[in-house]
Amino acid sequence: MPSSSSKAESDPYKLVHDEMAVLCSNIRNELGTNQGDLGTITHYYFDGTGKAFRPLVVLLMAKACNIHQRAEDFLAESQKKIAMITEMLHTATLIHDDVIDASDTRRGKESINYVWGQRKAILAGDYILSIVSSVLARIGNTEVVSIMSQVVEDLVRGEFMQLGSKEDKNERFAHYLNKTFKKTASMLAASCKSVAVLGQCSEEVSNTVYQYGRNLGIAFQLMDDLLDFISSDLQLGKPTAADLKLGLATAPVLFASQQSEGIEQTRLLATEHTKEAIRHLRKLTTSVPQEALISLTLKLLQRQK
Amino acid sequence: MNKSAIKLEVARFSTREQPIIEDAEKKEMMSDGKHSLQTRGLIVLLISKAAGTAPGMDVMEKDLVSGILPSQRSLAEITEIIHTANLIHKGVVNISDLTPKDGLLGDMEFGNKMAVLSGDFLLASACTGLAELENTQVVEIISGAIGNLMEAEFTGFTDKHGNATLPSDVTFSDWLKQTYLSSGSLLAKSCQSAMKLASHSSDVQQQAYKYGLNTAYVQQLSNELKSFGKGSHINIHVSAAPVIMLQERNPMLVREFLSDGVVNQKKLVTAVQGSGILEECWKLCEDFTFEDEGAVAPDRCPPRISEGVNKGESPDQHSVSEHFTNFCCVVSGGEGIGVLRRTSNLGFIMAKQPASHVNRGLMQRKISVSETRAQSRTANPHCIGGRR
Repeated sequence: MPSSSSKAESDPYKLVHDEMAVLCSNIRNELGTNQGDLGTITHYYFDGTGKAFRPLVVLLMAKACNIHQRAEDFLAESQKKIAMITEMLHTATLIHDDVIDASDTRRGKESINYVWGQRKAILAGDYILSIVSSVLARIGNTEVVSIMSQVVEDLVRGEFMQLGSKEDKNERFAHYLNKTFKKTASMLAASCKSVAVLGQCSEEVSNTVYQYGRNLGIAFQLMDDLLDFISSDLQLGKPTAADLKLGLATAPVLFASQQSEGIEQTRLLATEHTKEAIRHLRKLTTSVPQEALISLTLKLLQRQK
Repeated sequence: MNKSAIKLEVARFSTREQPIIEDAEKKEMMSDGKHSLQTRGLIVLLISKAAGTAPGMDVMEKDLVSGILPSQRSLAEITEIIHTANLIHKGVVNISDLTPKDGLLGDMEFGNKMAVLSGDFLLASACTGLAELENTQVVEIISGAIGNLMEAEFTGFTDKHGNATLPSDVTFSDWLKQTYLSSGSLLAKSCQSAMKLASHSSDVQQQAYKYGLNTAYVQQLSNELKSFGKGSHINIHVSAAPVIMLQERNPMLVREFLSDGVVNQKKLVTAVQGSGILEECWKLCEDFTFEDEGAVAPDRCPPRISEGVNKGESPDQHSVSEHFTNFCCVVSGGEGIGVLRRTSNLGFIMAKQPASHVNRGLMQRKISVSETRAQSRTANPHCIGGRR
């Protein structure tokens, strides 16, 4: 646990409050004010009500990396762009996922496909992706473009994997974890690595933070699936056990099929991944943003919604 | 869920294992029989070959295959992938608007799912492919073109299902803008990027951009004009340029033909044919074609000698037109593999002549429309710059 003295200072949101406050308006600026539905649809989810978990992690990681590398507490413009990109890419994925899963609600409101139809939802998602790609290119770093492009590919491959499962019980779990990496962890890992690269960190450091992001992402998804399994519609803002209805196997379901304590097993696995994430994070110079990331990682396990 | 069906889908769209375009001169140009010729990729390859690499660019001779850089080849592939992804995503249907005659709801939902995933898969390949070019400016330019393709679907030229509509206040300049968004931007920016990859000056890049844009205009316009040809059985598109021009001149008349959302095809065609607009449009095609004459200046091109044509001499008129006819067959998707074998000759012509000559080939379609009509009816409507 973080030391009590730094607890007040290491409130994750407060540390990057200024950047988080302008995140959505910056995203809307990038998307532009297109005439007609395109503007309305692409701005729809960037209303400031989302958790913005990914940008939060990315911004804190950028600060932690900068302190580690040159003992300076600051954020580079390029690093802020990466935070923005993660939220945009995540949202574009959600828009497409909702069409695939036929979801009518998202973040407590009607989903884009429900309001404007599937066709426009898909094209608007593609538009956001094209803006993501432009913003990324304008950073002007070929390595970062390459790291982040891999995320797009992983997201799609993860989506394909979600449609299939394995016959063999053991294989099935490996399949689930692999899918989890591609759908969630890849983005966190790659965006953490990108801000390290942009902060001129060594390869060793960028690989360390990549491992942090990877483990955090897997723990995050495990907890997400767990909550989806146990909580009600109202609490989570999305249909209960929607994945289960669609016949998709998530960790709690898979564990439950093997033994009676699926929920506890899932929590245990998530705990292992958070421990591993923190172990990697501790390799960086101790700093307030680093402590904030640690407490944020631990809080993941207490998530109620 | 059927696993093998998904596997099949992945295999079909996987560009890693099966490059969509490996070489313009090989039959691999075509991924799926003779009805899906990849015009955009071909044009990118041809303009790359025509321009060669910039003087002073450090290129190993072994890296150049048929005068084209590996990065330009990848770019041609990416351009095709983006276009295909867009066609697939535009095919997504709105489930709530379906009627029982559209088929089983479950089938349509599954079809949508596959369309979303396979389109996403292609776009992701385009993203990683672009990243591998290691040129962030090219990534930015091409990303802009992807954005334009999406904007084209929100302009009011199409309804929420993607069907063409004709807003009453639309003008020919709106048509130009729409054509830019739906096809011109991608072709123009791909041609521009091909020049950038070969380290050409911004001047040459701009000319290539204009060439790509004008080619897209000619493709779209000549394609639309075909449906107004004598004895044509192709359905008229309500947002086709001749209809827009007619509406600008005689709004009442056009509204009459479009009453209650049903298009009176026969009357519309007759009115357009009698208005002189078709002739004007063919003249426009010509203007677009020659506007960028010398766009990629011949003196920048590395001299390449082909059999049958003497060094220093222009190919005679007959052989030129023959080659161009071949090219226009290639773009119209009418003849298939046989024609493609001859593109190596075309490559030479392209290298020796301003790239804009390609458009002259397109112009010749005008002459042979009636002869090839039977072919165009069976050809894939998507293969030539169509925005449907």
